[in-house]
Amino acid sequence: MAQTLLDQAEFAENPEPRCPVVLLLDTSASMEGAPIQELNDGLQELAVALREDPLASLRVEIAILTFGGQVVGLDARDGSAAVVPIDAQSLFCPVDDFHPPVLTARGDTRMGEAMRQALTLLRDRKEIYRQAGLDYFRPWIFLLTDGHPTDRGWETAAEEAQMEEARKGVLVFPVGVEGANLKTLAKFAQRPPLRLHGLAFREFFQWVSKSLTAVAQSRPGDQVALPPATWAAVDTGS
Amino acid sequence: MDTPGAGREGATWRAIAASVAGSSHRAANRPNQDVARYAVLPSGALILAVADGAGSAPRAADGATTAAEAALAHLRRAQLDVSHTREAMELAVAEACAAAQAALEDQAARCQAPLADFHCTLTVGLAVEDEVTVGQIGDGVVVVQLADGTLQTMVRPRRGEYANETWFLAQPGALEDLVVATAPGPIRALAVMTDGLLRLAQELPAHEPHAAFYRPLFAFLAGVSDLRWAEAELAAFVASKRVAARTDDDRTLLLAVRAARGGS
Repeated sequence: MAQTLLDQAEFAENPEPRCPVVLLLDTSASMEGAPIQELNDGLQELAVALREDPLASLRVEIAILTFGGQVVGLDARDGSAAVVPIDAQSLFCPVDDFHPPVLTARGDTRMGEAMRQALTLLRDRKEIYRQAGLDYFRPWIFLLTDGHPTDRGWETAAEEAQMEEARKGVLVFPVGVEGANLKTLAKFAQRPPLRLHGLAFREFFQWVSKSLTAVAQSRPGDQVALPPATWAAVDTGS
Repeated sequence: MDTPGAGREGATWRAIAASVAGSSHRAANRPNQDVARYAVLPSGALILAVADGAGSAPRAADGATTAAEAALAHLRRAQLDVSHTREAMELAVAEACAAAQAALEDQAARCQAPLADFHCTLTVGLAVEDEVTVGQIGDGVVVVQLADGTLQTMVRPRRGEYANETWFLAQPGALEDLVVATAPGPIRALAVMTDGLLRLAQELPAHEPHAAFYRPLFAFLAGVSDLRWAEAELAAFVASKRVAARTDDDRTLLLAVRAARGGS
């Protein structure tokens, strides 16, 4: 095709909108064995899948909180599983830098406290975007667990998550491993919890990365279409 | 060829438009949900309507088509002539949006489907001689080039808290949020686009036109003699790898310039 003036059009350089994602990972003692191994494999898979998606890789920012004993932030950048402050400025990392840690299981299950920390973290992160004049998508929390919280008051934290979701502040995806207490998990979100078939973390994280792409075209009141039929569509709207 | 010498009487509008599906829509097996319709009437007036179907509303492509065609039909009937007033143009544009909304309601009722299944944004425009009035619900963009060559954003996208949130024509009370704007003076070119091109064409967050994007496009259209060929070239540009690398959304671009009657 011959060159025309159209080929001379130059594009503006604008930062991509950000999509903050908190991975809220159960590393308590009950995850010992196959569940934690599959979780680790799945995190590696997620990193690969995100990197292969050109726009998701520009938009998604990931933070990892684990709850096995203490609720801690983990450095998602260097794979070291180093504990770092839960700080909205420093905890999130872009996909290019995402090198997931290898997790081990120990301690009790402070799921309620972990959820509260995640909600606060995302509120702070949005404020940082606003201050910087950056566009952003509705944040996502993935709660991966066997569904046996041990901390006092987790029910209140679950209600807080539901309220934040009702205000359209966040999308919460509770995901139970095989044998998880889904009744408990259901209290953390407005939609039914997802059950992993067997311990299909790999499939799950591939789905996670696809669904991030899907929310990027969603509008208020839309159902975000998610790839596999085995998981329900997410209502992002009213 | 530029058109500063084309006087009000000696010039007419010429327009082209192109719309392609984004890669994310193709991956999800969704059709292109953007629609662009336009016409240059025998009177020389330009009328246009561009609609962007909502991401995954099941019948958004139908909704966008219905809305754009109903709006265009209304503008065609408005038959504004040289004695038009600014008020008459703004009324015609607002009524075109109302007609489009009514057409969506009719369609939903006919199909016995929820109105939300047809969600779309809508941008309509009316240019009589070198005066332009536009109306918009949603997150489209309209940029005009004034007689002195400066570029100006006439309508910016209206968004919610999140980058992918906007308002739709079929939402309750949508017409109360209708934005109607008339260009501040004579114009010689205009561009209308859906949000798929926003980040390539506009400088954010100020929403200033990126001149290096618009100027070659307007110059291209001003200089061509075969509009069918030009429209194919525009489609190739909008679909090009260079554009696709920057957006995975459906994208639509409509260009119009004032040119001497009978082509260049």
